[in-house]
Amino acid sequence: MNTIKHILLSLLILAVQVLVLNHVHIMGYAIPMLCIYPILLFPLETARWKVLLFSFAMGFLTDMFSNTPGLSSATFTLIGMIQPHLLGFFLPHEEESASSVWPSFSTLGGLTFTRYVLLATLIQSICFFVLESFSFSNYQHLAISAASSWALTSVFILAVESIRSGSSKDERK
Amino acid sequence: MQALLAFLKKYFYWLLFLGLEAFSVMLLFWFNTYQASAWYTAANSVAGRVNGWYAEAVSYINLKQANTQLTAQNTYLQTQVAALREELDKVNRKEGINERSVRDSLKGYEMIHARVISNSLHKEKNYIVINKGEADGVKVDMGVVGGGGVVGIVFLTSSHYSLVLPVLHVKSNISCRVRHSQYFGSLQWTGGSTTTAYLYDIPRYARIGKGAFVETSGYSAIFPPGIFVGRVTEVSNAPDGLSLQLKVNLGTDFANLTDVDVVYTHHKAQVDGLYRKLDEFETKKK
Repeated sequence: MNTIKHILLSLLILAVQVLVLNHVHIMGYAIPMLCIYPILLFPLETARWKVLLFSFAMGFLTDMFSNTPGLSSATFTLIGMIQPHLLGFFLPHEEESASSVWPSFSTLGGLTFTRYVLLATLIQSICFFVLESFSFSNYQHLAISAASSWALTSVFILAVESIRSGSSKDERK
Repeated sequence: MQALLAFLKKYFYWLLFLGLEAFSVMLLFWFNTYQASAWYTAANSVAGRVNGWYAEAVSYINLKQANTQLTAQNTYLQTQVAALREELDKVNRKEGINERSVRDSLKGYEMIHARVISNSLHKEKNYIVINKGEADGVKVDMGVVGGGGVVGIVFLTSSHYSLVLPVLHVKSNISCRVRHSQYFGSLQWTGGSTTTAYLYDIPRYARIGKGAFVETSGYSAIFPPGIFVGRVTEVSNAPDGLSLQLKVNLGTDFANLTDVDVVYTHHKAQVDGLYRKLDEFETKKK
């Protein structure tokens, strides 16, 4: 995967998020936030500022279309900040070329990539809903929203990732 | 400088992160009324609490000053209360018979009002200090009278204070008489009780009962005649067997003596002049 492909994928996902997923609000709690997916795809060697700016841009655009100024920007900027650390935690250290790898099912292995996605979306969900409710007085609602959105977002990302890895395998064939 | 640049380059992304987060949070508070109000409420309560702590600390530090002020105020108020109480006492004081009779007998005499500054009771030689002296016209050998009657005789004077030899002094000797009779003697104090003195040199044939009034005789011109001294409580023979001694209950309460009057008459100078002439005459004769 190269940068142009990555950007195109990001725009596509942004469009899906804004046009479709923003209207999904299961039981009033769960919101799938697929926009985090392109952020998680950066290889470890990418300059930190690029990841940060990209994350902020994704958050900002999401905010603009979902009328939540600042909410996704703050969350995604945080994810952009910790993404290299998360990825470094899950990457096999012994391989020299590991830092240039674009994370995916095929490069990291299914289980590792799933863990990576689960951890990242957990942090993102908690951060997003804490900022949204901005208080812990209704912590039950907060916990249900964060947990359900975490699950839903993870499922969506893993689904998209499996589709992508399937298509890339087809390409290789 | 290069180290600084290297540092900035290395940690530039931190600055970027903080800047982007700050901008996001700013957007959050600007465009979302809920978060904004929650933020301002929280900020206000935090600021209020911090201000409260600060105010408490300041007030605690200022306690010392407040304490000094309160003490000064307290002292001021206490002196005022004391002054007002004194005024009240003056207004409320009932004028007894003794006082009225003393006042009557002082007509024609000049008076200098004075206050007792120090007073002793329990020695053999007690003295009283009053707050008037030569500057106020007080001279040695003037009589001092209180509300209850005779107090004593001025013994020493300074410009603004005088020492009074009261009845309660073993050397005190005041010429007194028994009212409605012409017997007179000298009033002396022997120490002990501050409410009793003895009148000596009363002839044995005098008929004097208990309760008789003792007053100044006026013979010495120190006191005008008829100033109340006390009342007889006991009549007995003097140790010499030639005269009577009368135990006199003194009218003046020396333990509670605050205001006195120094009395004097212009006749005293004439009387003194006569005595002086007598002395000269007698020395010439010799």
